[in-house]
Amino acid sequence: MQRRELLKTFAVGSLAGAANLHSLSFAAQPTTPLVVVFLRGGADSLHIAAPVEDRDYIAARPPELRILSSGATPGIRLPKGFTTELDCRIHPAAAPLLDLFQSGHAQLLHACGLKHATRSHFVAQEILEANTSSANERILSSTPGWLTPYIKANTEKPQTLPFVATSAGQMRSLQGLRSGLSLTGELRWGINLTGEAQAKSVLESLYVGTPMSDPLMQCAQDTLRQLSLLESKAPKTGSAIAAYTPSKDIKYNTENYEWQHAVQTVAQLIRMDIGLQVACVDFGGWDTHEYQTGRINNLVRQWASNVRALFDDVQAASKDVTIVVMSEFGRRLRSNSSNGTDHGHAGALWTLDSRKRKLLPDTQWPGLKNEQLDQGLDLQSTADVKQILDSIAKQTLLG
Amino acid sequence: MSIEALERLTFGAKRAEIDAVQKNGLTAWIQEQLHPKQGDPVLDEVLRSAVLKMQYGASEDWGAVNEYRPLGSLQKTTQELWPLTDGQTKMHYAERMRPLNELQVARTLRAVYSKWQIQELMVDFWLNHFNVHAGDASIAVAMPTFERECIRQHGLGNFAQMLSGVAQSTPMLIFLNNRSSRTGAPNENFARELFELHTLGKQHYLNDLYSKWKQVPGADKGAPKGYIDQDVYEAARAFTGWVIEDGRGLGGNTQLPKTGQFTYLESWHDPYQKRVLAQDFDPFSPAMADGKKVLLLLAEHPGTALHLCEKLCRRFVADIPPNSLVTSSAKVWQDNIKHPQQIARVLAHIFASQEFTQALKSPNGKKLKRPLELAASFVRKLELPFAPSMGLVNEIQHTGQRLYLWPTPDGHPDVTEYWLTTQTMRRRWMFPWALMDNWWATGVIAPEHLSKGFALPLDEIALLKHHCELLVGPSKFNDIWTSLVKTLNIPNKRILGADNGEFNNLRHTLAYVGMSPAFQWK
Repeated sequence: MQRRELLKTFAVGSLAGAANLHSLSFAAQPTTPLVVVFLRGGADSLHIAAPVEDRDYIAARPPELRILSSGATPGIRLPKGFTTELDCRIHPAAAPLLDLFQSGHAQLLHACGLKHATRSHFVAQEILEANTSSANERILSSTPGWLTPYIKANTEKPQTLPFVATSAGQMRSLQGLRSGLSLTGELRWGINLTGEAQAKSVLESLYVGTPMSDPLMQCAQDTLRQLSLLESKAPKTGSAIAAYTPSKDIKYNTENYEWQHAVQTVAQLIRMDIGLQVACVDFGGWDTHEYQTGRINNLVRQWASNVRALFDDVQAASKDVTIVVMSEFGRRLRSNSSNGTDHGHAGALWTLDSRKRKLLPDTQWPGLKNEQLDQGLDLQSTADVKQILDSIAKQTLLG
Repeated sequence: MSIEALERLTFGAKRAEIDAVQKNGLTAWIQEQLHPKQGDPVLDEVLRSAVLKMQYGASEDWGAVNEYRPLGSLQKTTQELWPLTDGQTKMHYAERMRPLNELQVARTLRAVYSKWQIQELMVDFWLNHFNVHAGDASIAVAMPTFERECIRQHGLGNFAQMLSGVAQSTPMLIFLNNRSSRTGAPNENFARELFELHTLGKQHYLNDLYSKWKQVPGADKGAPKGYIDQDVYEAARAFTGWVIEDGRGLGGNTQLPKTGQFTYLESWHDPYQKRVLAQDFDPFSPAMADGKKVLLLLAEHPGTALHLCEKLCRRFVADIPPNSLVTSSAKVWQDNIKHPQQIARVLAHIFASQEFTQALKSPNGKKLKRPLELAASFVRKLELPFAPSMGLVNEIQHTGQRLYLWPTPDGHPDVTEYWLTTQTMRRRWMFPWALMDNWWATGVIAPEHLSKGFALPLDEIALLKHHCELLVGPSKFNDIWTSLVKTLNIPNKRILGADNGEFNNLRHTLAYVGMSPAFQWK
């Protein structure tokens, strides 16, 4: 991509300012793969990290929808709270993350959200994932994914895999890009071509032509190229692609097949050294309008265990990685009659960084008194999530 | 244009359908399809005689099972199937989820065999529009009734009637949690998606106005152009008490019966005055009047017409549908707002439009076959044997089309961009091959299936050319054939024996035709 085009892309985008762009082509230090974990459905950040003894927090929810300071399963106290005067704890099921907070690899930013806050999942996801901060439907629908310009900014090297998305269909955050990999389930089952060599030569002869004007042609040609790259680089047992067996001290959570293999695929690809820049991993199920207690407990356990395992797995191979965890919005402070919570505004961002960089600003905790809430309902946003995501992408992907 | 239109309006046009359209014209075929009066004896027989395997090992609570069973739950009511959700009764999980698997394979059978192809496409459209994730037993057991009585019944009928059925349906009440919503702190899930997805659409969400309902354009005349969060909160109150009989306790010694059916619970309803879309609702209205009033306001709102017509045009015409067609279709929608065949009339308008004909010729009007359409069109055009197969259903799912299992209430995206990734591409190429080689037990393709009507000795090349043309049509035949001849060194003539082994070549070459670019588009 030409530098001028890139500048144009960023100009309509939401990057904080053009001042930093001069450094784009002179990467200061090697980049790190960025893993974006999207907790789809609106994760209740107030049930994952909270000032447990705040009176308004206690008043707004029954104990089963709160993190507690005592009892059978108290929350885990963060070494450095997001508001100094209060006891800040994370959900007990997030225990695997604790020592990463102690070591400085993990960070948390609470009370961040969209400038154009919305209680619509689909609008919020669209704004978060498109490379614009506009909430205008027409602008949104024609804007590429927020990660797209970063990947395009790095000149494409042959024999590399720019991105992986662990979903069958296209991921909105990557819209406008093709030459990456989409994959669900185990990597070893996802890269062989039916009909093998003969089929490959037939497909190559059927799918010739100018790909730019035809999305099918482009996708087909990229698919053939990426599959043969992966086939040549993936570890084998005999002639078959080997199953992935992480070392014993890496503790992946195996309760959710899709989620487990999504993170393991990412770990494998980073370890394979094929130039992976971005991994987009969805982990859904967070729309807890009902029966939140048990659901959050399961979700947080699976989430925290597997981002931790992914981090350890990559570190064990002496590779770098940055993991950022986000959700389209947080949830209502007050619970509803279904033992759940409805859609809210601000939520939280989490990062794990192998280089212990400070990727998130300190939380400006807005408080939970009625007059401190957004529209009297929701946690107020004190940080623009899109600006922060862009700064993380810049630091990790552009160096 | 007739043949292109036919491809757009079927799961792959069969020879006989193409002949009928060439003889009687497209308009007559569309009119017949939009008003499916008689039954469908072929499909009925297929569904009646179909069997699907049930297999699981023994435990201390049940014996091992390995047998083929008919698709017995398709015609059952929610009440009849509700006992499958009872945790007190010991049974294997596969038994509880059986209705879902039967529906999944039935969808593939209907796609392939149904005479009423537009109706089947509309069932797919509406199941996406009113998407419910049926991966939970309590929803799975209620899905046959939901599909039969809400979706099929009204799929070409009247939208307001369909909406009213959906709002009282067990799957929707469970999926969007209205069954636990009660006065005091109502659950907003259903109310929000009712506005945002089912009716007005997010383009009518005037988020910036939040609670300032008087500032909504048109509100002063009682006809607001869009909705705000306050409408969602108020509508959530209107639907409190719309629940299902799921056995839950009501305080004291009373509890709801366990039938899984809809019921209205007066004691859970918030009876006080409300304001939705600038309309005042009286306090203490009769049973269900609040909810019904919200549904009617939404069903008849001009914004709903635009939202729904845009979706219909996106499905059938182009990823970016022409504005002129959306607008004219919305007018037909509104003109027929109470008509029992409102939806059929709108579709007739779309299919007869200039814009539709234009789109079929334009690169911008291309629609990619969905994975089920890809598999079904291969089977239909070659008239291959086709039996229920969970293997196929699972492959369709990995190719991006999760039948009854799309996780969120919005349904699958309807643009090419979503359906094209390296994973879906790779798996799309797998379908024709796997069907030909019977990987998923959809049926053995024997020599006689491909040689019907051909004289002995069989010329493999003549057979190939014939079937290749069936798959892609005469206009695209030459390019593909030339390319295959070159890559595979196909001779001018090759005599086939009766041995099935010699058919491998033939089957795989036809699979390649199914992998071609031309076969991916509708």
